Amino acid sequence: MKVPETIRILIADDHPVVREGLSAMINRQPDMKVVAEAGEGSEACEQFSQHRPDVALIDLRMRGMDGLHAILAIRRRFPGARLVVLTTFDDNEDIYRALQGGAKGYVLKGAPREELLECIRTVHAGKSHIAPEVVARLAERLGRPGLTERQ
Amino acid sequence: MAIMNPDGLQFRALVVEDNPADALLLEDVLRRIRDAQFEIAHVERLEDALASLAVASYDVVLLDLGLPDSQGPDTVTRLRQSQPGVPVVVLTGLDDEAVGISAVQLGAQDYLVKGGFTPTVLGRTIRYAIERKRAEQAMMAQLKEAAIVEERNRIAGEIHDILAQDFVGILLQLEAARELNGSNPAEVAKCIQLAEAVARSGLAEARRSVWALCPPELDAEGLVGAVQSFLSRVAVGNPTAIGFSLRGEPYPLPNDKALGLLRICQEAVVNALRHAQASKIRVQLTYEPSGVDLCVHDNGRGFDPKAHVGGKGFGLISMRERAERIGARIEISGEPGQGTRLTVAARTSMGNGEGHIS
Repeated sequence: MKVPETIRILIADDHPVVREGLSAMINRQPDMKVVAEAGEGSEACEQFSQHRPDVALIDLRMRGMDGLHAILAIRRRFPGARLVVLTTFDDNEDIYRALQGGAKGYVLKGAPREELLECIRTVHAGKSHIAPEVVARLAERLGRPGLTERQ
Repeated sequence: MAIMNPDGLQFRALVVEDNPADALLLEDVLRRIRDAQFEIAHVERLEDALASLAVASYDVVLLDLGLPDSQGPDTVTRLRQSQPGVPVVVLTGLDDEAVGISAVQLGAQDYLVKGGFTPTVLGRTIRYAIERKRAEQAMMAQLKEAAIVEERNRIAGEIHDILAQDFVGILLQLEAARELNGSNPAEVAKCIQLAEAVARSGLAEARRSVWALCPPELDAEGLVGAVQSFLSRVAVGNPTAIGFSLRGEPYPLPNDKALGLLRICQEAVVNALRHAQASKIRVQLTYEPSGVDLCVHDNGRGFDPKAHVGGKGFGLISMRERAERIGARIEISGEPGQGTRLTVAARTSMGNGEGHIS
């Protein structure tokens, strides 16, 4: 019998209760395991290098180095890194920039557990998973002139 | 307001002058100004001027500084306190030009030496005074707008960083409890307990934010009272021991200084509660003749202040900004494990009597 592959996961979020809750929830899945946690962007980079997780969940807004910079730094060193943006609000220009920077998934915090788990599995399989409300928002933004000139 | 009519601009001017000859002379010069017409009202006392300004609008006030009920530059201050929006041109005697300059420093738009001006000069002075006032008010409005935007960003940041994360934390625990579905009662109880604890701390944070946003009762309580009542409200249901001490004899502070010190105190205490895991916080106010010192000291885990320069959400930048605005010196010292000490020194000139009683 083939042993199912376990998805090794890194969680980066500066709110300890959120981190613990996510970690416990993910660890209850038979095909997932949290291998590292980080409370800040540069810690996320270090943990990523050390543990080389299959998927990393990264909160955009953290104290110290924020999630966007962590995403950019990780993708620079590991171009194949599979990163999921996990954030509280979807009205942030940073989401666009994070996806442009190479994040493959986006989930709103507080979304149903199934959506997050599905996102992790999809991104792990090498595909993108972006919440429908964000797709609509991005399409709207892409139609707006000047946006891509933003650095 | 000034309006255009076929004969030129029309202005409403209030002449505040107790010397009848000077008043007549001034009105005569006003009437001889070409390309502007003046509707003139004349009073002899500051009290009458204030009463008149309260019920009617004027484009400019021409103000003598030697009135029966008010003398010297103080006259300008009283007028500005009561009617900050109206342009003021001060009229001084020949030998007290220095008084005119100090009147401008106190907020008058310009001054003229009595008997030394022509209709052209008076007309131009009045127009410039009105324009300067307009520019000043536009700038004030911009500054106010910027302050509102900044405060809104701060509130949005608090909601994002604290309340929303707590809700996410609660959701995760409730989902976990639902997923366990009674299969492991001890584990379910743990999830519910954790959700409760997070809800409670979130509620406490929401209360703190609301207190910090509400305008404090500085007038009724003074700075000392406002600080004490803030501390006693924060202490409720909180295991951290919060102490307050007062040194020196409290005296009146200008309102902006008192409010600045209170806000800094609130932020420092909330930071200590939120981030420092302190078991003790001490707040001390020291009144010296030269100024008031605020010190907030905790025995928490401390931090390296330099490491957080430019960091988001610690409130230090905002406390520095507040200190800057009231011209106070702020020092924050702390090392990991050594607790944090914040000292703010606000210079004051004792007994200048403005503002509330602390």
